[in-house]
This record gives sequence, C-alpha cells and structure tokens, in this order.
Amino acid sequence: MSLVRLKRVLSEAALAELLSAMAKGKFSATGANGPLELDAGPAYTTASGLLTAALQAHPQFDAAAHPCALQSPTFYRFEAGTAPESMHAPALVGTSPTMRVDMAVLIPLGSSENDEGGEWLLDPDGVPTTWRGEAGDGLLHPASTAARFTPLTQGSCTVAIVLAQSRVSDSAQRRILFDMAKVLEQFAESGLTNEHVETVRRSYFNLLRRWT
Amino acid sequence: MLLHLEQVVTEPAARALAAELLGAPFVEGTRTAAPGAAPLKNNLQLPGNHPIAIEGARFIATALAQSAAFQAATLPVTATAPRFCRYEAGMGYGDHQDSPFMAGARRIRTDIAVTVALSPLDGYEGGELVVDSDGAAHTWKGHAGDCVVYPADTLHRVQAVTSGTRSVAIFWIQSLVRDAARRKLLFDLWLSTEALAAAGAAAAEITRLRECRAQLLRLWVEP
Repeated sequence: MSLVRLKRVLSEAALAELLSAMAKGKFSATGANGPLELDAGPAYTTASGLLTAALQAHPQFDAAAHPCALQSPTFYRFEAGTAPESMHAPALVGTSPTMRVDMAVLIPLGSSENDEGGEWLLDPDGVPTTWRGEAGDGLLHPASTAARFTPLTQGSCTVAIVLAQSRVSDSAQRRILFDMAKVLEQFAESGLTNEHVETVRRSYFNLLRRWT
Repeated sequence: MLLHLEQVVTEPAARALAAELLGAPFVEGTRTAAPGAAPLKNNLQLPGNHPIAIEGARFIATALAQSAAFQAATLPVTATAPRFCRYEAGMGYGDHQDSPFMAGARRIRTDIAVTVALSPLDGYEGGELVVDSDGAAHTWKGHAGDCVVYPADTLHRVQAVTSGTRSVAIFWIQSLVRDAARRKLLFDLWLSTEALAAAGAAAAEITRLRECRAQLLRLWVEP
C-alpha cells in the first residue's frame, strides 16, 4: 500500500480538546537537537485517549488499515532549527504482547502562525513525496517507508504519530482491499445496488477471509 | 466451482461435429484411463491421431480461445488436446479423479477439467456428469455447444446412459492460477466488473475494479 490521506481524523472540536489537554503537559527533548516529545502524565493520557478513539472511529482508517492493535500515540513538537530526523518505525514494539508495526499514521495537530518550512518527506515507492496536511488530517503509510520531517525555518508545529498493526500484514493486499472498499462505498453513495455489486462485495469479503 | 458456460461452441457447429463423429472409428476408453480408473471406465474414445479428432480438437480449441468468459474462468497456460468420447446405452464412468499430470505438447498439471457437450439434450437419456464439490454432488448436462469447467481434483463420474448417444469433448488445463478458490474470486470479479461496465456504472469505479483484479493477478499468477 502506498500512502492514504485520511480526512478529518480529528474534528475541529476534538482537535481543540486535544490541544487543550496537551497544553497542560510538558514537552521534553528527545535528543540533541531532536524534536520535543510530550511527557507521560495526565495531559498525555487525555490526549492519547482522544486521538486513539478518533482513529478507531474513522471509517477510512479502518478500511485502509484493518487495524488490530494501535500503539499509544507519540506527540512531537518541532521547532525552528530542529534537525531533520528520519523516523524509521521499528518492526516490533512492546512485550507481552508484542505488536508488529505494519503502518504509521502522521497527524499534524497545529502550528504557530509564523511557521515556515516543515513538511513530511516520504519515499514510499522510490519516488519522494512531500505532505503537509491540515491540522486534524492524517497520512497513513507503510511502516517500511521512511518518513522525515524537513526543518522549520521559523515557528513550531505539533504532530502525532501512531504505529499500528494490521490484520493484513501485506501492504499490497491492504491496497487492493482499500480500493475495493472505496468502490463499494461509491456504489452505495450513488444508490447502485444489484447482483453484480453484491458479487463485488462477496469477492471483497472473501479476500478479507483469505488475508486476515 | 462448477461453472457452466453456454454456447462456447454454437449449437449447429457442435451438432455437426457430433454427426461427423458418429462415423469415426472409436475404441475402448480404458486405453487412456488413469491408474486404477480402468475398471470404472466404460466408454469409447476417438484416437487422437485420427483426422476427425485432429480437426475437431482444433475447432474446439479455437472456439474456446475466443470465449472471453472461458478465458477468464480458466486463465490457461496450456491445455491438452480435446479428446472425443462417446457413451452409448449402458455406458458410464464411475467415481474417479483425474491424473494430476497429463501429456500434451508438454507435460501439464491438470488444474481444471473441461467437458464440452456435442450431443443435443434430447439425443440421450442419463449420462449426467456428477461432480462432488464443496460437500455436495453437482449434476451437469448441457445443450450441444455448452461446456462445464470444474477443478480436476474433484471426485466425479458420468452416470450411465440409458438410451441414445452422449458425445462430448474433454480436456484439461494448466491454469496460471492453480488454486480454485483464487480462480473463482478472479472470475467473479471479472464477471461483475464487466456486467457493471455494460450497465453504465461510473468509469472511475470500473477502472479501479479492473486494477484490483490486475493486482490480484500479479499476486497470484504462476506463469
């Protein structure tokens, strides 16, 4: 699967609530010249719960990712001069249970009014792609794809990253399932219902049975 | 999957071929029976090197190569030459499985068995093909020119003909996709997509469905 843009993972209200919770927390350096990370604590717990619930309720995320486990989000703040950092997702995280990391979701949460620069650079299929989404949107990408945040020249911005395990470990299979789900959704929206649509749906279900 | 395809050969052409076969020198079918199947096999076959068999096989193969539905259902890599079989009153073929390999232009793996009906339906009584698949017995008897496609690993039989003559062409296919469930899914997707396209469904969705099937083929095909 290449990249999937997720519209409105967080509604405006949910985003405001999440940012309000985060404002009560403390960001700490993750390393020399690296981004800042929201510390564990009540602010993190609230923000994490809000974002996880929003992702789990997002139909497009469900259709694209078929998630069976989500890692707790990591909240980063990038500031001007922060060194570019490649985000190589680990193959496995946690113990008892261990989660296989199939995908990552990048969710911009907001930026200062004067920010400049700062966008995600991904290389999913050998072709570098940049992305700078709206606050509350998301970008789902295979965990095998390196993602790098290009430096801000001024201002700051906050993002969340969520790692996920899919019921369908193979990204090419996830792409087929996602495309079929989108077709079925379009048929439903246009009111098209007949035996052939049901055959497409049966094929989709049979692929899910085969691959999950 | 037992798939019935209508008129892969036109009925007049199939009947004409059946009429031509009536005068041909058939021999006992046990000569080509799979190991262990000879006692169960009671039919007649036209030797493959007979001119009528050669010409008939070419005709059948050409007709099936032009059938989009047949191609989508079988995804052939290669096939044996069609054999012509005749069942007269009292003849049949008991429960058997086909050999996993057969000699053709080269040795092929028999993923799919195909029967093309040549006799008119009212030309004989009995003679149904029965295929045990998915825990049930599926019975098939086609009009002249119809064909049935089924996985060659199934147990199957031909019920005794009680009157008249049953003429069929049979052959086996090695498919690009050896797994029957995958072939079924690809065929369902092809059939529904083409039907939706013909009915005027949005081009964007049709293109996406065709691309999904193409991706599945890339994942599953063993050339």
